[in-house]
Amino acid sequence: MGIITLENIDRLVWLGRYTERVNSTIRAYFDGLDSFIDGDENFYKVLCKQLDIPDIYDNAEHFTNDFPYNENNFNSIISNLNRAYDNAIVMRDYIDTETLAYIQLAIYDIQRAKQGKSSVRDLYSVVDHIMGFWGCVDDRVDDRIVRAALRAGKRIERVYLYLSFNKPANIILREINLMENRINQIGMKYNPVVLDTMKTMLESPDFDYSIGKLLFYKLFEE
Amino acid sequence: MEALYTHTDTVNELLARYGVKFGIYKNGTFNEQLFPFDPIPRVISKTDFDLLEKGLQQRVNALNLFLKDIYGAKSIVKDGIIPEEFIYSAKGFLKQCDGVYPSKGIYSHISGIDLVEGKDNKWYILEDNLRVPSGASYPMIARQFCRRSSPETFLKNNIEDNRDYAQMLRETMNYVNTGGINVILTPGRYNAAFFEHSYLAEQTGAVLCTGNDLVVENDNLYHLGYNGSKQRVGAVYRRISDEYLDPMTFQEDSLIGIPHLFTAYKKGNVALLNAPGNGIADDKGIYYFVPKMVKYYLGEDCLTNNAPTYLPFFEEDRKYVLDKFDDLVIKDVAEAGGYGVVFGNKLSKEEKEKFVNMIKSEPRRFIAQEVIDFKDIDIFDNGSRVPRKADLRAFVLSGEDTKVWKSGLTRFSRIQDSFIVNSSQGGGFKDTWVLSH
Repeated sequence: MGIITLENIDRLVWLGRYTERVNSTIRAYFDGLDSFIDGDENFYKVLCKQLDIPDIYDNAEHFTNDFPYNENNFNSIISNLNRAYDNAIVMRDYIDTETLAYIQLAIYDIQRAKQGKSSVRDLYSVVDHIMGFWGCVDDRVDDRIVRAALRAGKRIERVYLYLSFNKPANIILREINLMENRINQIGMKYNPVVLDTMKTMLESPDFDYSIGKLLFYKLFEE
Repeated sequence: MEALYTHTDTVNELLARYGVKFGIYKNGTFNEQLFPFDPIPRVISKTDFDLLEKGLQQRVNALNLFLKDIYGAKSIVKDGIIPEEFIYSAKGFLKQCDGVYPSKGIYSHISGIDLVEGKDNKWYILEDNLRVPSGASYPMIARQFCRRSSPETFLKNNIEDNRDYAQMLRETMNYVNTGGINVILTPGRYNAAFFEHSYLAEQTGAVLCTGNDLVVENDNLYHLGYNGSKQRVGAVYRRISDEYLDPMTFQEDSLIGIPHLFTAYKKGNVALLNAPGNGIADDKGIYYFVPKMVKYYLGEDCLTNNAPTYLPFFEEDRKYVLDKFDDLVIKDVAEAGGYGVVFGNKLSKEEKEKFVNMIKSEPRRFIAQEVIDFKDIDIFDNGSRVPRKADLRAFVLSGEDTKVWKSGLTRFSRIQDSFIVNSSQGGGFKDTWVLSH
């Protein structure tokens, strides 16, 4: 494309973030259902805490019906997917119609999942479409900056979620390195001192995830 | 052709997959809707199209000359062909455009001409759309899916390829480009035709922009890059109305326009497609005069047929309109999109009385037309083949030459006997086949 506005870079970053959030939270939701079946009725409380979202749910059943599908719940999976769509729909000329179609298909499938005839299958399809979206980005989006902005968003979200889900430090460190490359490519502002501190902490054996998460919030502060 | 019909669901599913939608506001809420596609194409023979092509080229050439004249010497008024009341009282006449000469002297680069085929086998022009006509993207993308769904249909029939619209549009933009990139200016994703804006940007390689992405400096227009860079813009295919284009020249509270854009345009530093001020030429009142324009500017007889039209502004016509009110369709010249269209015989006694009084008090506001008994085209409705009213929007592109796209948007009404085919009022669309021989 040659030239891209700051606003569009921002949209691409958020498109990357929201698609990754949808992908990861659907998987976390499935894991949560397993825990529920195994007798953990408070699984959703843990998940809410991990994701820093308010626990507005009466019980596990309320959560399982509301968290994926309630469009009025700002933190629901469907809301995140809608925000991915909002960012994608205005970027057709950058990401192309084929790539955009996967976000559209994910929207159709989560709406179908909401109807409840075969919700799990349809949620799996949402994940498939997100994977298809990223495959298309790799295959069809030639512009270096556009790709970098999308991937920067994906990596930022991953770092955040991996910290939230207490993933092993070496995996988080790998994601941080990938994120750093991408955000440098698009000239995104961040605090390099905070980033270095995070990396150093992740290399120590007694890494504190809650401090790691606090540092993440500081990373992009102006 | 029947083979294609079995793929109706497939084509509609593919259109859904690729987000081929239009937006609509209802009760203040924005909704995106799929545009229902019907697989039975409108077929135009080569002989018919050749005639139409000549007529449409002639018409658009005359309209472009009219615009050049009306914002220049105004000879057509001075020579008494069009009364000045029809120019200066028209909402579409923009005094700011007086004396402004656009790049290469072209005003209407993309013209959407709405036609119907009468039962007498003649094509009639219903209206000329010279501001921001939309709709080309739908048959463009639908053709692609029809071809893939039913290759045999396209192998067996001699159908002109319509996938060249993006190329035609790009050439049109390039021809008037004053140096710089091509952009498509959209009001944003909540515009009814946003799909089209984004799809045409993708297909033509133009950059899709909102007003915030562009800035005028030293009377040149620039696109702002994320890293502070600026790239000069040479042509803007703008999909926003004149009044919102530039708050410094037109509506001052416009948030979607670009301050000082009109100055850059006036100085010849950027091309605007279509030119501001074109509303005067597609005013429903001016439509009446198009055959006269053709004669006046080109010295030729008009090859396209207007629907028989009456202007209540003229006493004789007003008398006729009031006498024959029940047989006519009355159109408010200020409205578009199928709104402000009233069939005389559909009004109650009170409504009719109210309307007649309006025509008497504001005669310039209305035109009246004989109801064209146009041919129905079959559509599929719940599996049955039923006849419905349909029009055709032909796209005429004016660059180095004036070209008619060998396709068009055929819109149909889903309601039996209804003449309102607009998508905003529930209509669907069809592919338009122009046969190559």
